[in-house]
Amino acid sequence: MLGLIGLSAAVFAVGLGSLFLGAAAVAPSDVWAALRGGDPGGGAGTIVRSLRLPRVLCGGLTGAALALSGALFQALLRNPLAEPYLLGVSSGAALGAVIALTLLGGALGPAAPVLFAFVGGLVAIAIVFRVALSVGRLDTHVLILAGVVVASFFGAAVMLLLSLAEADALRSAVLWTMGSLERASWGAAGVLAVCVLVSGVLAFGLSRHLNAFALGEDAAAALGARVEPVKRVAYVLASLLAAVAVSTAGVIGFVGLVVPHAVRMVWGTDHRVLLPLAALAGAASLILADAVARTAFRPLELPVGVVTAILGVPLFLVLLRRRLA
Amino acid sequence: MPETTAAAFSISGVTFTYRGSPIPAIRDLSLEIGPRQFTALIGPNGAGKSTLVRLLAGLSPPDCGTIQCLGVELGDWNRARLARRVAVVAQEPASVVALSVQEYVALGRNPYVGPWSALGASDHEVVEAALARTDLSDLRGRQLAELSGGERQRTRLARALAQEPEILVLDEPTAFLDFRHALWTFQTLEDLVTHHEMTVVCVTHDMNLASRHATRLVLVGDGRLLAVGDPGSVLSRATLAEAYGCEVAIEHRPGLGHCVLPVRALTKPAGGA
Repeated sequence: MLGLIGLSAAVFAVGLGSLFLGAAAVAPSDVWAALRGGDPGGGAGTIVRSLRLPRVLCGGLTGAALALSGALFQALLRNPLAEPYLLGVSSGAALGAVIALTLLGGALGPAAPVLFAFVGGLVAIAIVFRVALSVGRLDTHVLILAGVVVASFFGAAVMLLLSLAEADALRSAVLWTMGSLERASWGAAGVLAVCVLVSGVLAFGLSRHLNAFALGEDAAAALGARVEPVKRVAYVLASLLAAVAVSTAGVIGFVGLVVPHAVRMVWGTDHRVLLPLAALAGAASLILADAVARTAFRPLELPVGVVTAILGVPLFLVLLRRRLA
Repeated sequence: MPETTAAAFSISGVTFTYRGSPIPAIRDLSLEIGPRQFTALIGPNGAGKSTLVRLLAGLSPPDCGTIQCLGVELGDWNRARLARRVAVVAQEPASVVALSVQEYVALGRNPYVGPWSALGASDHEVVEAALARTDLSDLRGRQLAELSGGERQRTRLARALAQEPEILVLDEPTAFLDFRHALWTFQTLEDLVTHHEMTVVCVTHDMNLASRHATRLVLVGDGRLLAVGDPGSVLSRATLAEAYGCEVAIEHRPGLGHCVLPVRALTKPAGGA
C-alpha cells in the first residue's frame, strides 16, 4: 500500500515536473497559467497543452505498458530476464513503420507509420503464435524460438528496405527505430490509456494464477488454473501492450526488462502487488528518461530509447550480478 | 449427497502413452479408490506410479478408458472446483521461487478466491491452521530457498491442506526425508484419514511405513495393476519378487506392520526413473 501511494506520488511529481521542461523556454508561471486553461502568450498555451501534456501522458502510459508487458512475459516464461520484444513485436512494428516511411514516403500522412507499425507488430505476433500453437498447445520453447526467428526475418526486411532508401527516408526510419516520444499526441495518449487500463485490469485478474505459474504449469493447474486459456490471454495482453507501446514510441529498451525486475526486488513476487507497482514505476521512469532526453542537450533532443538504454544497461548489469551472486 | 458415497477415484480401462514414447506408461488399468481410505501406491521405478498421479490430478487425459473423481468424469470437472476437492503434492523440483512459506501456503487458497478479490479473513485462518498443522507457524516468514528438505516437504503438504481438500494425492512425499520426517509424514496422513475424513492416495517406496499406516496397498508394475488389498495380502514374497525382480524377506511384527527386507536382486534393474 505504501508502495502504491509512493509510486503514484512519484508518477504525479515527475509528470508535473517535466511539464516545466522542454526545448522552448516557458516560464513556470506561464506553465501554470496554461494548465489552468489560460493563454499567457508566446504560444505557451499551445506548447504546454498540445505538446508537453500529451507527451508526458504518452511517456507515462508507454512506460506503464512496457513494464506491464515485461512483467507478464517474465511470469509466463518463468524467467526474470524476459522482455516485451521477445516475440518479435518490435521487429514487426519496425518493418511496418519503415514500409510507411520509405516505400510510401510518408504519403499517407503522419499517422501512417504508427498504424503500419501497430499492424506490423500484430502480424509478427500472429505468425509467432500460429507456429507455437501448431503443437496443439502453447509451447513456451517453440514460442521463444519462433519469436527469435520471426524477429530476425523482419529485421532483415528492415535492413533491406533501409539499404534501398533515400537519405531523408533513411534518417526518419532510423530515428523511428531508436524510440522517441516526439510523435506523442492526445489521440495516441487516448489509445494507450484504453489499452493500458483494459489490459492492466485483465492481467491483474490473472495475477493469482501467474503467482502459481512460478511453481510450474502443472502446479498451477492443480491449484485451479485453466493453464492454456490463462497462458493465451496473458501472452496476448503482453504482446498487445508491447505492440501499442512500440507503435507510438518506437523501440524503447530496458524499461520492460529492468522495471519489473527492480519492483520485484523491492516489493516481492506477488503479481497482485507487482503488476500495479510495475506499471507505476514504468510510467515514472519513462517520463523521467524523456525529461532527460528533452533537456540534456537542449535544444537538441535525444531519442528516449538512447537514454533508457544508457541509464538502464548499467542498472541491469548490477541486477544481473546480484542475481548470479 | 451423491458425492460422499461415490468412490474418490474410479479408474476403468485406462491406457496412457507419453507423446513420442513407443510403450504405454499405463496399460488397461482399472482401480477403485474408496473414500476415507489411506491408499499407498507402490511399485518399482518406472512402473507408472507418477503417471498415475498425473492422470488422477487431471493433468493429462487418458488415451482410452475413463477416470471418475467423486462420481464425475475428470475431464468434466471445472479446474477450480476440482482444486477445492482434490489437492496434489507432486514431485516438484526444488524451486528457486522467491516466495515466503506463508505466501506459498496461501497459494492453496487460489481455487477459492475470485480473480479480482483479495484473500478474506477466513482464508487467512485456513492458511494459519495449515501452517500450525505442519509445525510451520514459526517459519512463515522464511524464504522457500532457505528451507531444509524436510521443511520444504511440510510446506508442500501445508499448501495442499490450505486447499481444504477431501482427497489428497501425494507423489513420494517422503523422498529425501530421514526416518523421523518420513514417520511424521505417514502419521500425519493417517491422522487426516482417521480423524478428518480425508482420502489419501500416496505414492511411496517405503513399504514398511506404508504397510503400517495405509489401509490399502496398490502394487503396480509396467503400467499394470499387479495386486490390490490390505498390506498383508499384497506384501507377499512371490508378488514382490515378481514386481521388483528381487528376493525379499518379509516379517510381520504386531503393531509395527510388515517389514520388507530386500535380500538379493534376481534380475538386472529394468525401467527408467
